[in-house]
Amino acid sequence: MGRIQRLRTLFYTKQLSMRDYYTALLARIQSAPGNAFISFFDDEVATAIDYLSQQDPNRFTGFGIPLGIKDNMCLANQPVTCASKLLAGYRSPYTATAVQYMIDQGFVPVGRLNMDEFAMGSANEYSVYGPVDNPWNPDAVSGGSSGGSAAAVAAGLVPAALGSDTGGSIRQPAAFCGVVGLKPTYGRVSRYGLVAFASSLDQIGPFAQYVDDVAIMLDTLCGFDPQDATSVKRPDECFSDGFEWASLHGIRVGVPNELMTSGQADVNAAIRRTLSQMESHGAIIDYVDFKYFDEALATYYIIAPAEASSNLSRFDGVRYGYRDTSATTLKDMMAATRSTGFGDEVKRRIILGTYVLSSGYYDAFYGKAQRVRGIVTKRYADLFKQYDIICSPTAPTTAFKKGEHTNDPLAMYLSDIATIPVNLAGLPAISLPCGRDSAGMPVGMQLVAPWFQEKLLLNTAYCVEQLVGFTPLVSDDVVLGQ
Amino acid sequence: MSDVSIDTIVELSYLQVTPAQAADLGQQIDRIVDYMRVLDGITDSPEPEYEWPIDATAVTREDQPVHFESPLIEANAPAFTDGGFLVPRVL
Repeated sequence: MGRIQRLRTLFYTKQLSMRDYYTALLARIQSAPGNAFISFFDDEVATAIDYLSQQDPNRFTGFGIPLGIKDNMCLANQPVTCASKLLAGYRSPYTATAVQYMIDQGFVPVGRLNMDEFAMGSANEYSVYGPVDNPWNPDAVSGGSSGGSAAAVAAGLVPAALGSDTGGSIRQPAAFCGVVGLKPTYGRVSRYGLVAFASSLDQIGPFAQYVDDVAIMLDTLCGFDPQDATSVKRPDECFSDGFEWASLHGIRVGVPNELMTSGQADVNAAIRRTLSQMESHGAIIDYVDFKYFDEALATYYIIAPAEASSNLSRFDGVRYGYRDTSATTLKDMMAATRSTGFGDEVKRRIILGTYVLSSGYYDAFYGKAQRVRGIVTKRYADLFKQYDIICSPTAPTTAFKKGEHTNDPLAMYLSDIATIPVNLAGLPAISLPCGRDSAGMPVGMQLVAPWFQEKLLLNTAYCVEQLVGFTPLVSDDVVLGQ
Repeated sequence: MSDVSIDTIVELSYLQVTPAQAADLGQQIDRIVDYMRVLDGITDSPEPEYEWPIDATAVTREDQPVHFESPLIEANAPAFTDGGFLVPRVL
């Protein structure tokens, strides 16, 4: 049983006082090293505890469960800055649908979590609040862009956190920090109230230590939302039921050769070891050429910056956030605001996006990338005729040292090679820990399922988790206040 | 970016950079753009029905904008006067 269900039971049965638990928890979060949290919702937590203590616990899936929120999701009257100077002082007038669904089910937002600025980065080193430490080794990066979410769960500060994934921003930090992170099918979870980076790729998803915790969170997050034009109407599903019947028997698993022959040797060894365990429990493992990883990476770094250059054009110093007051004309004010408000990586991607969309280059880059996106997606559709699950390392390496890739953007982008094609195709995928490298850093395994097959994905992940028996950095008892 | 000036792209992006920053950015973007040339090797036929990540029928309905008022809309603005956003002169 995961942490959410255990903590909920402790509150239900009054074995644990919610008020005492939160007093200790907030003190622990506020004194924790690592820079995962950037602000706290003390007053809102007190109000939520007062409210929940008068309610029937059976009505709430997440009764009293502390929840960390990535700093790009809106919560009414609270700051949301996307870890950028450009949104300094901004307070959201409304709450994101996904966050509201969690609150409606009794989850208690406790604070905002650090991230790469505007969700652009793979190391959480591009934040106006500074980098996030990896709880396993503070000299290593936490991954990105949802590094604060992954690190907060790994450090045992919260049992549940929300992140967003545009090219691997949930799965890669989950892998680096030894926790579970799920990117749902595009359209499964509302993006209303998520500050847009690349709208055709962005998706909100859950972080937790265990697969069944993530399943409970997904139960809560899902649902059609008319305020998001890409939200998809689906029949109700329960992802958290029936794990006791889950089996790997007969599950056909395709493993892309390209991702098993490059990358860090002990990452690949951990994946092979886990695949071997899966095979001995009935899974059918087969190696296959995916063919398009380099092309998918190039496609992503055309489409995502193109969409970002458009989405981030609204940050101009007029309607919200920071304004550079040194300029005397409107145009100069906008340019000065954006130049001094955005960090280097965001500016790099805006420029790249503007370039690929500019007259004379649109067809050569953006038009071509859209066509290749279709080819990559079709390749997945073909693979899913043969396989139930596609499995690989989540990232080619374990968490690298801080500063290792900051002067080489392309090297940083290459660390997302396994996760990016999944976003182009809009597929659901999960990363779960499957071992540790020779330095003791966690290795993440990525499982990808067909569109809207999160139940299959979670069942398979649960079986793998039971086989691996990964030991979390922080014990359950600490997180549960025992 | 051999055929287009980094300065032009920076201006189109509503950004300002120093000459040294422009040189660095130009080199970095050149390297990234070179990597993108891998797409030129794709000879497979396009798959238009797969170019959007979800069922196309789900995105053809009209947006449903919701109007709301909040004192935060005014409070969030760097400068707000008489019901409007205050900006510097245009020219």
